[in-house]
Order: sequence, then structure tokens, then C-alpha cells
Amino acid sequence: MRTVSVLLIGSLVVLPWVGFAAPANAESKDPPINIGYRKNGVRLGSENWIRDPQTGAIVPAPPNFASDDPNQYKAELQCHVDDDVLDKKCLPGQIQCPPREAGGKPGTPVIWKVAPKAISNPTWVDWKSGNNGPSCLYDQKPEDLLQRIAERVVSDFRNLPIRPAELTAQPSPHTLKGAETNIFADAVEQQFDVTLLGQQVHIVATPVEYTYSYGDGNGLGPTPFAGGPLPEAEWGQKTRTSHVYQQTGDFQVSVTTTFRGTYSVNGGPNMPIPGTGQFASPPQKVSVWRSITRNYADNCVVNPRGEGCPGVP
Amino acid sequence: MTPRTSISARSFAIGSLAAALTLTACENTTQPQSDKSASPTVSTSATATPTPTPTPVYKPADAKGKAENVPVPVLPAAAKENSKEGVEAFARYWFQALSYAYETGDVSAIKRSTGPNCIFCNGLQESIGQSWTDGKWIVGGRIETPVVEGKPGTGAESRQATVQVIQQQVEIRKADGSLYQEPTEASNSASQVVATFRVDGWVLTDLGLIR
Repeated sequence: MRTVSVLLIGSLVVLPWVGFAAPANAESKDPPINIGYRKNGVRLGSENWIRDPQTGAIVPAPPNFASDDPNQYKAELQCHVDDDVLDKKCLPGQIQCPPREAGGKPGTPVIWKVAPKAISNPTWVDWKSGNNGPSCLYDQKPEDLLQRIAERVVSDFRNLPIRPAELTAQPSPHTLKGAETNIFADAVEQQFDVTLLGQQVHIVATPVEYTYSYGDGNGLGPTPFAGGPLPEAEWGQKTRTSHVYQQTGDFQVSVTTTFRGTYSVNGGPNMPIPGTGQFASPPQKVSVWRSITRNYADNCVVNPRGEGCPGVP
Repeated sequence: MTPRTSISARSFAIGSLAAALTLTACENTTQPQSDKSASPTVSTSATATPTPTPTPVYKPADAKGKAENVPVPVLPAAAKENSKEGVEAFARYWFQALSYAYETGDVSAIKRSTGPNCIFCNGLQESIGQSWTDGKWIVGGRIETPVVEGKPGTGAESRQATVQVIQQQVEIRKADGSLYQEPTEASNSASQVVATFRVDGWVLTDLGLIR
């Protein structure tokens, strides 16, 4: 124990410390205080509310509600005094967008604004990019460029090479009729950088729902549950995604994963891509066997010629 | 940036009025005031008296010291009515009181107008309390509520309001003026307020973020 604690102290001294480097004298022994209003609400997991998509009323969020981004965004073009005279009336000190390549045209700076989407006529505040730099649009007609990207990104998202979930059955490839076969999917968040209408668009695809088809006419979902592996000792237990086959035979098990996406234009905020993309995993064969239990009075020592004993056909 | 500045300018104007009206309340608070704000804050209404008595001027907190002469929020008469407008006025007041708590460490007004089972409210009070112990103080953290919308037609005793809550960055400074932790960034979020009308007025019974 002593060596351990000495080591700990040592490492504290040696690393005074990535996160705390900026504020001088911040001591790591002080417990962090969750002081921000919004952060507190997120941390406390107090009751969350959502805007009901049907009625528009604010209602308590259902249990297991997967919260996506509660914000809405808009971009304000800078140096944009009237429609015909772009780039002419940039105020001094305004952010500038230098040409991307030598001899190219300079871009149009944009300032992104953010506000909660639950408020109909909100007050907007500046959105801060990760690097605090300006966002720039490079296009002949920057006014409606973002609208055009928003329309394009919906179909482009569905055609991305998104890797579908990996499907596993436990036990497999052989399982038993009448037993719980644990079938689960494993899908991961994936990121893509694409060029869309000349802009750098960063897309993040997140798995949100799974639809299982067990191959015997039964299925599950769409459900937010991907399921997960069971240790071998617990095979046969019921899980959220397990299935009981009532027939023997070979079945093709498959899962389709629903991905939701966000996109960011030239370093701007991650905005939701309307709709979802469906990505199917290749089906897997599961062979369902039946088991027969017989009881015997003797063991193989007493009755070495009994059924099931070594060497007995 | 423009909307933010104009809002703070407006609320400052309202705020200083409130300060003038409720100076006695300010003096009576049990909350230990900042040493630096211990300047003689007694002022008669500066317009009436010819003597140049210094009017207490609101000064936000900074790395050197606590906020001074933070306007004490006043529960408006409208906030005592059991109506959609009443719950809106109450929600506005409640967030002013929360903002006041951030800036002064004095959570008494919030406590008075909050029910015991509001998890979010209790967490906020606790965090603010922790941030004002051992000589620490808060820089920033002011809250504005540009949009407050009462829900029409909710129950006779319990009503709801949707509130846009904009909070400045929050820094916690230690007694020596250094940062206690990384500043918490500014936020712009929406909340749902559930308030219950009792004999002595509204009480905030639940509060949650709208996701």
C-alpha cells in the first residue's frame, strides 16, 4: 500500500496537469463543482422535457429518451450588405477568409448562431467553434449555399459507406430449440469527411435503433437496444434481444441498424441530418437443434454397455 | 454579440432601479457581503438630495473581488396572480433570484420560492453554496430570460412556463483570486418550469431542461 500511495503522490507532482494547466494554482485536490446552470440540469438527470413533435407542446420526455442536440443553428453571412455587392463592404476588423489556393477567390465569412430549439423566437448567441476561428464559405452564391448543402446531405448520408452492425448469436452456430439464444448487434459511431458543393463537410453517423429478424418469421424492433454479450456460463439466459426458436433447422439471422447523422460545414456546428439511414448487416446462419434428456438408473461403471457410455453405438 | 449587450443593458437599468427601491432589504440580508463592498452603501435617492452621496453602483465580480451592489430581485405584483401571466412573471422573478444567488452566494430568495422536491433547484443551490465557501466567489454566471411563455390552459393550481435561459460563463475564484477550476462556458438553453399556486403565492415545484 505504501508504495502505491507514494507513486500516486509522485505522479501528481510530475503531472501538474493537462486539464488544469491554464488556471495557475488550480489544485486537483479540490472536488470539481458543477456550477453551470445547463450542466447542472444535465448532470442531475432531473426530469427532462421535449417538444412533442405532434402537438408542439412541451411534455415530459419518455423514459429511455435518447436526447439528441437540443439546439438549433443558423449562419449569418458577414460582409453581406446587399445581394449584389459581396465582399465589397467588409468592415475593418471583420473576420477574413483568405483564398483556399493561390489565385483563388476569398471566401465569405459566416458567424454561426445557436439557440435552444424548444423556443420559437429565441435570442441567439454566437456559437463558438472548437478552434475559435471563423467559418468560411467558398461559393459564387454563398447566400443559399447552406440550404443547398442541407438538401444534398440527406441523400448523400444514405449512400455513405457506413459499416453496419456486427451480429453475434450465443451460442452459435448451433443453438437449442426452446432455449434463449442471445442475439446482439455491435455498431459504432463513424465519421466521414466529404466534399459537398466544394465545402468540407464532416459527417458523424450514430447508431440509434436496431431491427432484428430471427429468420423464423419472428423479429424484434426497431428497438434502441443493441443487446450485448453474455459470459459463457450465462448462455441460455433471457436478454433484451434474445430469441427462443420453436423449430429445429437452419435460420438466417439478420439485423438492420438505423443511423442518425450530423454534419458540419467547414468547421461549423454539428447539425442534424433529417431522417435516418438504414444499413443491413450480412445475415448469419444459426442451426437450431433439439436435445433429448433421458434418465438412467446406472452409471457407466456399473453398466458399461448402457446407452451413451463410451464405446456403445 | 449585439443582442446580449442590449439585454444586459436593459436588465441593468431595471436592476439599478430595483436596487434603489430595496436598499433596506439589501442591508438586512444575512449573507456576509464582500469586504470590498463594505463601503458605506447608505444612500438616499440621489436625485432628491443635493449632497453628493455616492449611489451604490452595480459592479460585476472580477478576478479581484466579488460583485458589488447586485440589484435584489423584487417579486412583482403580477407574480402573485394565479394566471398564465402570473406564472410568467413568477418564472422571470425566480430566474432573477437564481442569477442573484450566483452573483452573491445568497440563496435565501430562491429557497423561499422553491418547493422541497425540485431536484434541479436543490442541485443548483448546493453548487452555488459550494462555490461561495472558504472565501471563494463567482465571476459571471448572470442569467437572462429573454423568452418566458406560460402554457395556456394548465391546471388550476399547477401551471407551467417555458423559459429560455442564457447564462454567462461562470468562473469560481478562490480567496487568493486564482481560478478554482476551469471556467464553465456560457450556455443558452430552454427549461420547463412547473409552479404551484399556494395561499401565499407561487412556489416553483419542478424544473427541467428541454432536450
